[in-house]
Amino acid sequence: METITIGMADYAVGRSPINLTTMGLGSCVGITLYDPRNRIGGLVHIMLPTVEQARSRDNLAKFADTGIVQLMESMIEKGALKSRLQAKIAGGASMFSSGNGSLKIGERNVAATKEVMESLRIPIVAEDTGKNYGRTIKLDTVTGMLTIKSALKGTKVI
Amino acid sequence: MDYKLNEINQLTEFQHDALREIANIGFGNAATSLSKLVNNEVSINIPALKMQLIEKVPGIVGGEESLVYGIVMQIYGDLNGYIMMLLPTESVKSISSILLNYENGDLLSEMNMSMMQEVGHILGGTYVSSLSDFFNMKISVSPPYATYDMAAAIIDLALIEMSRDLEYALVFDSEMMVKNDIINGKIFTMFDTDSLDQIMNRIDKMVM
Repeated sequence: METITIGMADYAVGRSPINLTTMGLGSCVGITLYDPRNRIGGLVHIMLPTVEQARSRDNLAKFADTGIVQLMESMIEKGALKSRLQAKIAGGASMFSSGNGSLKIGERNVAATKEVMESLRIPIVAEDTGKNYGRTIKLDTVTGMLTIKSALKGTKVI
Repeated sequence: MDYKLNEINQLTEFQHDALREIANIGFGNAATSLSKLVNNEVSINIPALKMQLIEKVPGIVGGEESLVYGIVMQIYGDLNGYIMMLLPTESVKSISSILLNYENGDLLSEMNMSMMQEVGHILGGTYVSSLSDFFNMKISVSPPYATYDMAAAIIDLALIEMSRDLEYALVFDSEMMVKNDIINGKIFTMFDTDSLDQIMNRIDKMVM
């Protein structure tokens, strides 16, 4: 089955039976949107909470606020219905245990993602965020299930 | 002169060679420290130099999901950036057995992790101080952060920090190898574009 691999600060949309994956999320957050009726899925791999603080705004997929909207619009264009979209999110870890302020970026990415979802009125139906390890995620557009693989903590499906 | 570079093709051949030579000095000295630590000869390849879109850096690390020990330090002062070391499990085992006489122990134990941090700090410190001496600049290195995980997940914090203000970073990428390949790993450094301006200005002064 075809799998699209999405890099850092990038997004893609796929229709069933395509899988969407992104590898090695640390403090970044992977957000998937899914329309279960039309079986259209999308995934964006964001790095920072908001475009507002950024000096360089060339790549809107880098930020939670602009990246999620970009993903949503692209899905609607391909036939997804906004009111049916369901979100799942993963990542936002603090990779290094000796955490100080600047290391909390993972938490801030998760918080920003939730705010964006609330303002877009898209429900977050499942999440696996925080803690101190990396995650590889894969969205199955046939079922909408999100598989989360880690190096030492096993695999789970949400 | 003020250099505002966005892509590597804007570097002249001379600048490119000069930058590579400088990276060689830094990595060379770091390799020498490792050689002293493990009491064995260490070789490094000539570092590759790239002006890289930050979000594309995971692609050049070599296996985003590969499980490695990662040691990350911030470089700050007259130059700003990050130095990162990624070592496969077997190499960490070799280092532990040489330095700690630690055979078949838990590589994630506190003792082993702090030993790896210390090794990283020595290498990073040597790298930075050789650049300091060469350019007569004030450059420091932060305490190391270390963890064992997927390569892409380890480096993404440094990339996030870099990408707050920048699109491109100057990336030096090198591999080191101890005799018979018992220890091998990747070291790479990233500098922001302001640092690159500083470096190029120093190089011009040296040439004149």
